[in-house]
Order: sequence, then C-alpha cells, then structure tokens
Amino acid sequence: MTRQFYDLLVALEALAGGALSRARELGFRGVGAAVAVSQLMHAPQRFLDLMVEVRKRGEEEGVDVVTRLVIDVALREGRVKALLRRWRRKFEVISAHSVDRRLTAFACRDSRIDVVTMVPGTELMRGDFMYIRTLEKRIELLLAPLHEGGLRRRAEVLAEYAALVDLLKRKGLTNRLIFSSGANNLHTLRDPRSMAALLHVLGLGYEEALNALSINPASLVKENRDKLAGVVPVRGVRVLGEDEEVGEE
Amino acid sequence: MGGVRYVVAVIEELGDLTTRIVEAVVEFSGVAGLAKVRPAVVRIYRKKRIAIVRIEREGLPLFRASLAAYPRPILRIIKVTGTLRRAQRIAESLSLPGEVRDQG
Repeated sequence: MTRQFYDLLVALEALAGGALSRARELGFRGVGAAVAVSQLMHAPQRFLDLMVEVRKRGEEEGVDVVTRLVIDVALREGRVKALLRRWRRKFEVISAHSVDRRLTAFACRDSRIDVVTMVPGTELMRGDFMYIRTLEKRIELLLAPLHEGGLRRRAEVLAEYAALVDLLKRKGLTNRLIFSSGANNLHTLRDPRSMAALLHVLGLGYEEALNALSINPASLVKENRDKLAGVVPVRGVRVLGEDEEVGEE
Repeated sequence: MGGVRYVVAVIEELGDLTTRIVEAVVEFSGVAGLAKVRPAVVRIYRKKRIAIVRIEREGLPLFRASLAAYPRPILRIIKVTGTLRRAQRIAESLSLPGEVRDQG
C-alpha cells in the first residue's frame, strides 16, 4: 500500500494563497491548516470562514484539510484553559509551541492538547516525557527553522534536532514524532521523501522517518476525528457500529 | 558496494543548476558530503523544466536532505531510478510542469 503523507502544519493563509496545490504536487495526501491563537483572538470569524473555504478547495483538489489551532504565544494557564474550553471541539488538532517552560509543561499534561511543537532553544524534561507517553501525545519538529537565519543559527537548529531525535530513540518514542514544514509560504514546502531523508540524516531510521510524515500524523488525525464524531466518547471506549466486531488482541 | 542513481526532477529555480546543487550540498554537509553525493547534471529538458541528475547511490539521503534543508527550493524530485535509460523514459513521459506529480 502506498504511503499517505501529511504535512500537519501549514499556515491557513498560505494554503488559501496556493500552498494547497503545491502540497498536492509535492505528493501530500493531507495538510494541517493552522490558525495561530493570536490570529484567532483578533478576528475569529474571518479565520473560521477562511477555514471553510480552504476545506472546500481541498475537497476539490483531493487534499485532506485538517483544521488545527496553534498556541504559539506564552499565555497564562488560565487563559489557555479558557481557549481550550472554547475551541477544542471546533478544531481537529490542537498544538502548543514550546515557547516557555510553563506552557510546555502544561501542554504535556493537558490531554486536550495533542501535539507539542518543539521550538529551537527549548527542551523537554523527564516528567514531560512521562505525560507524552501516558497521554499518547505527539512531538513535532518543523522544517521552517532550518531555513531561517544565518548558517550558524541553522547549524544550531540541526544539532538540537539531532539531539532530540537521539533522545526519542533512547526513550522509545520515535513513533510519536511528527515532522512538518511549518510553512508560511510556498517556498518552505518540500516533498515528503526529502523531508524524511533529512530526519534520516539526523539519525532516525528511514522507515521511522517516513512514518513521521505519514503514519504518525495520520493516526492522530483519525483518532481526533473519531473523538469529535463521538465514536470515542472517552479515552479507552470505542462505540462500535452494527457491522463492527471487537477484534481479538 | 558502489553504484549510481539517476534523479528525475522538476527545476524550481532557473539558472546554473549544477552550481545551485553543489551550493546546497556543500552548505548542508561540506566538501566531504559533496564527495559522497558527487552530483552531476546529465540532461536538462528546458521546455519541460525537467532535469536528470546523477548521484552516488550512498549519497541519495544526503542529497535529498540537502535539498530539503536549503532555504530556496531548487529541485522537486519526481522519481529516482537505477538506469539512465529509465530516467530518460520517465522524463520524456512527463508533460507540462503543472501536471508533474511525485511518483515516490
């Protein structure tokens, strides 16, 4: 069976501006249409309308558009909780950037946040990994920081990514890794196999690297869609249809 | 074991392709990496904006990683083959740039 690749973080406005066709050309089956929380707070209706439009265009182009909310600014815990109460059921994926220690710790322990996006210069602690493992969260690396700044800065980002990949291998969490472009424009998008090759060069096995762009994000999207559809009302419970049977494990 | 691979790709940025590729590989992995990849542009189909690039088989991941990590898109890889004849056949079968899709 051919792999279905997902780029789970592309700015919604970029998708509206042609990145959707570009993602299809590159071989992606699905894209995460990301709205930053700062944008959503200022003009919620505008972005929700744009989301509907991009989704419709995705259907026409044959690209699966996943709605995603990104918490990319350091907010107080109470503020994040209020945001999650309001928006959790309106977005298929919710992620938080590890912009500061408190937000990272909160993102790891709150089950409503699905993905922790690693920003260069930040790290995860032992307790964070425990929550990530228990709550089945995903850890995300982005391609965009590798394109920004001078050579030295980019080398530092590469070194951090290599160290994180090594840590995830030691902790047996490579199946939780997602690699996305984090693109704000067309030029940051790359084909999935080249992105996987980059992860491979950083120390991950090639199959695991391909999984970080296909199986890992796709399984998250499926889980969350099942939750929103009521098929999984609470963690560990799945409502079976009439023709479905409980599989032997 | 040695061996080469032929990469069929769409040219994303016009200009001296060889220089751009060398720049990207050297920037990512240095001269040692370039020695491992040893890229050479074999053929360019100007109208279709398609190129065939020969690389060392062992250098394929490094070549792809270099293209991914380079800030500007240089090439969009369509297919990797083991023979030049097959690469040419694929390149010739491709139509207009807008219709070219990744074939894995």
